[in-house]
Amino acid sequence: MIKTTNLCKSFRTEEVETLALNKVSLHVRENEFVAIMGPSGCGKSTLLNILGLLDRPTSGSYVFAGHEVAKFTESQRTRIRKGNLGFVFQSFNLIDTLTVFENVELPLLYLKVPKSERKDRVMEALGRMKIGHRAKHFPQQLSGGQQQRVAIARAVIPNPKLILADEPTGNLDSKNGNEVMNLLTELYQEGATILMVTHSDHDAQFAHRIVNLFDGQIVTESVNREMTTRE
Amino acid sequence: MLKTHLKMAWQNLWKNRFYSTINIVGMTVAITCLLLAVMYWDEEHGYDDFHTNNPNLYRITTNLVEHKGAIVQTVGTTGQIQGRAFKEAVPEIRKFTRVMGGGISSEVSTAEKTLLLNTLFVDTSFFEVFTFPLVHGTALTALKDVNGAVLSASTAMRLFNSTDVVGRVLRMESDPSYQRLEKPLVVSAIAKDPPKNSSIQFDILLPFEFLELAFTDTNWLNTYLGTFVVLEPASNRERIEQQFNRVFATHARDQVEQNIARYGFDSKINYGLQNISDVHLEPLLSGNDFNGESGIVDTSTPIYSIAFLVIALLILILASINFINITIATALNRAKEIGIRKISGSNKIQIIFQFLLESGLLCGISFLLSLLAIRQLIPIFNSLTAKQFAFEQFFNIEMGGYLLLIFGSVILITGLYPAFVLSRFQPSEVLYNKLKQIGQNVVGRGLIVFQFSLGIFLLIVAIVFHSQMDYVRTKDLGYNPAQIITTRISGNRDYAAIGNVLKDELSREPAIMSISYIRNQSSGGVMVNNKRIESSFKSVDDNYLPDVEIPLLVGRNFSPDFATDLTNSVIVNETFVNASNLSDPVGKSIELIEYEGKPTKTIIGVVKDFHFGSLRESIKPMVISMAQVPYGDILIKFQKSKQREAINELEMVYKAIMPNAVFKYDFLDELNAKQYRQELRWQKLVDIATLLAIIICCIGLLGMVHLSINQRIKEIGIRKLLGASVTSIVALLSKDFIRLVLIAIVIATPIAWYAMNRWLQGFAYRIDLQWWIFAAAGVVAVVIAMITVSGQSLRAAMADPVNSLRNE
Ligand SMILES: Nc1ncnc2c1ncn2[C@@H]1O[C@H](COP(=O)(O)OP(=O)(O)O)[C@@H](O)[C@H]1O
Ligand SMILES: [Mg+2]
Repeated sequence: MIKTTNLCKSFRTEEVETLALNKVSLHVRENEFVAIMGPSGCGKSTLLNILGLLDRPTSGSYVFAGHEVAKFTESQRTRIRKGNLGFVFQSFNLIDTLTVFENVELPLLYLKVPKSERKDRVMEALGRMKIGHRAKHFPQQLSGGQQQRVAIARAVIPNPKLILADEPTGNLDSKNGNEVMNLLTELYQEGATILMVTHSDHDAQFAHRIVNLFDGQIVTESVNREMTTRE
Repeated sequence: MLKTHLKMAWQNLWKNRFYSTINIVGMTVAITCLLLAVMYWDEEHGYDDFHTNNPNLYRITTNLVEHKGAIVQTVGTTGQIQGRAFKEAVPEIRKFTRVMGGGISSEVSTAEKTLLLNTLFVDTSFFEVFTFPLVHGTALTALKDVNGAVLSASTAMRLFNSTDVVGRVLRMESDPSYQRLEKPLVVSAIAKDPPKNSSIQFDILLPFEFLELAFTDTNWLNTYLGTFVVLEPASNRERIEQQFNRVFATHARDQVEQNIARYGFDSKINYGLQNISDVHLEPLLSGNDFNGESGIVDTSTPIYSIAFLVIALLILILASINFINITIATALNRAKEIGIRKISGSNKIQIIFQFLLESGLLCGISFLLSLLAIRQLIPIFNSLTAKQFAFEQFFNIEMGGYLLLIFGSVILITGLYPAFVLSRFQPSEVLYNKLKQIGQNVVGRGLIVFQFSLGIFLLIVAIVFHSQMDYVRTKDLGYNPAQIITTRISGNRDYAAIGNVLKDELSREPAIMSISYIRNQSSGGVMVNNKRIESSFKSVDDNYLPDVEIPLLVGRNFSPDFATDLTNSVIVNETFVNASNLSDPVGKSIELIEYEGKPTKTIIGVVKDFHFGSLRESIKPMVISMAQVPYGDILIKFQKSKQREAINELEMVYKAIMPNAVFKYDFLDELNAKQYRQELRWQKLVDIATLLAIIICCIGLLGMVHLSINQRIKEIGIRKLLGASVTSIVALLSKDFIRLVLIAIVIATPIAWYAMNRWLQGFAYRIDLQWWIFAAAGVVAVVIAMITVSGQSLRAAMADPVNSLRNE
């Protein structure tokens, strides 16, 4: 599903040039659950953004579902992102001025799903995230864990092939964090491919495979035996 | 303390330089307009203030009563007789002088040259009543001798190349008084040129006694010249006016009775006093006084200075709205700073002070830029207003006072409200991010709607103005003014003889096709079938109608072949026929009531209606009689594309016949166009005001869009992440603002419709207010707003979402 070869990404700011990713080659098959770990600033988010087609690599190749997308324009990337990719962030990234329902509805809106179907699917997704009763509330009125569940509902509602999560439990306490991890695991078991950036060893244990990043380079890759056996 | 505050203010302006620029541009435009408007106002209201007698210097006004008994109007003029009679009866009158002229030009010659000079006939006390300092000569004796003449300094220069010319000799050979004087005029004094804000202007002053050699008039019922009086300080004006009326009642009794006997109505007259300072803006001149004997020139009405000030204030309001909107909105971004300052013990006053300081700094910069702008703009402004302002005028105490006043109020308006709003922020709300978004900022949106309503209103005004003026300019006048030069014979000359020679000589010139005469006479009553019809009177020769291509509907033109045409025949216009209900007008008799002897005339023809004068007035009934002597205008029709030759030939012949005369000419079509000069100036002004208003609206909108996008940058990122296309983001961001503009259209349209309808009522011939005018204004507003908004939105929509999502 994902195959990168020698991905590099550098940022220029005024005078310094940071090499955030240095020749990253990574292969992710369909229905894998991969955790990306590493110290802060090592390039995890940068990698995830590129893999999620939010950003472009400076050089290298990136094949997503059979397409070479490294040189895609923003509008081409938007087209692929739509419906295929779901995002979960540490800071939830919900729109404050929209209700929970409207937030979750957005991806379907952009996929031009008819209204009646939208309603059913949103309520179903919210129900699954155990947040259906807060559909009319605004994000600011929810706790962090509830907000993250809304964000996950929003990420999964178009049934994406790939879910990208950037420290999804980073802003949550352990109880809420676990709940989120369980939800992701459930999705994985239903057939989704999941790429998750995390700091926490505990969270990484839910994954199938762990990729360790240091200074923009992959240093080790390890297969999570517990998971493999479960498979 | 102040220094740190100032430094902080400066840093803030610099940090927000995009918004600071918007504010400075808007404020500079507004302050520039306001300063110009104040300057104009000051000039208009400062006319004639320079006379040292001023608080006690008055003009005598006359209330005229029409034959039906209603007061027709108050005029600022009197006859010749009132001044002296009033002075004798009323001890509070210290001095008086009559002033006759303003539109009187005389041919004045030295040994070398003849010039046409603007002449005033005045009493010897002229220099005691008015303050016109002399350069040479003595005020008390300057006008004592009947042949004494006072020149203005610039006229002396033109005539003699020197101002030191007291004692030099002048001739006025075509002047009837001079013809009876039997000795030359002698320059008795040289006066400084009247200042440009004087309603009384002259090249040459001649004693009233000199005028009286040829023209005396003891009629109490006449009103044509200005009589000015200096009253004792603190005298009771009302009592004096009553005394005037009593003098009239006794002195004029015989004349009033004669008038009743002759014309059948009692011209009840009573008098008033008008301070000289009010004369410029309230000239009280009726149609006939514009013939130019009232002594008053360069008249105006308060409407111009008011309109200027209103426009400038509107623009200031627009710019202030931007200022307030932007200050509040950027301050929302700064809310954290304010919250922290509050927590760390800064009090309300200090926060307000900081805001006032920032707006003061912005206004200060704008003010300096305005002064620079005005320096550059003064020539343009002068041509727009037909005035002669100078940049230096700004630096006197009075303007300085206005400057300070404007400066202070602008800072207060623009600084105080935002400061007040923002200082009330609760730190808890601010720090916990509970502030509402700009998108829901009701006041800000309301202000944008208000701004755009004004902009759209002005846009409609401008379109209607243009359409109406185009209509007026291109409307068929009913005659053809092309290829016609007008000139006249002036002074006391043998008009009949000169006219004949002129016609003879000119008809031999190859470029000249035809010569005709027309003279405007007053208006008055005409009796037809026992019905009185108010008509205007003209007299023309037999060439006039064919030369200007006015078609006869029935009957015939005047002709030298009919001996009775000169004495008995008239041609009338269609309106006259309609007003008099004549079914078969040719051959019918009419009686001209207000002419001596009530002559009876026979209608020999009817012409198609044609316009004479401004299209503000509708066509009136007209009675045209025949004249063979060119007392009025001489029209010379020339061959197409032979204009230069025609002028040369005309000038040659004219000068050969009248060697001492000054040749002056105009083109008839240009004269017509000149009538609309005032309107054209206003059209330009409205255009500029509209343009400025719209620019200010747009930069304000730009600022608000920018702010709102900055606030929604994360939302935009999220939406893009979820698959929103660029178009849908642009639509999302623009929708709100376009909706505001649509609301503004709904508000502005009916108001503009009402206002322009009222304005158009002032024209007898006017366009209909068609729906497309409003639609066009609306479309223009929406398109302009769309362009303003979409540029910003597009930029936001095209940005990579990753950038906006990254920083948390
Ligand atoms: N838009 C950007 N501009 C400049 N530097 C950036 C940008 N995004 C990331 N970086 C830099 O790239 C490096 C990797 O960042 P990031 O991927 O966010 O790290 P992580 O998620 O592993 O903490 C860091 O040094 C960061 O400062
Ligand atoms: Mg990160």
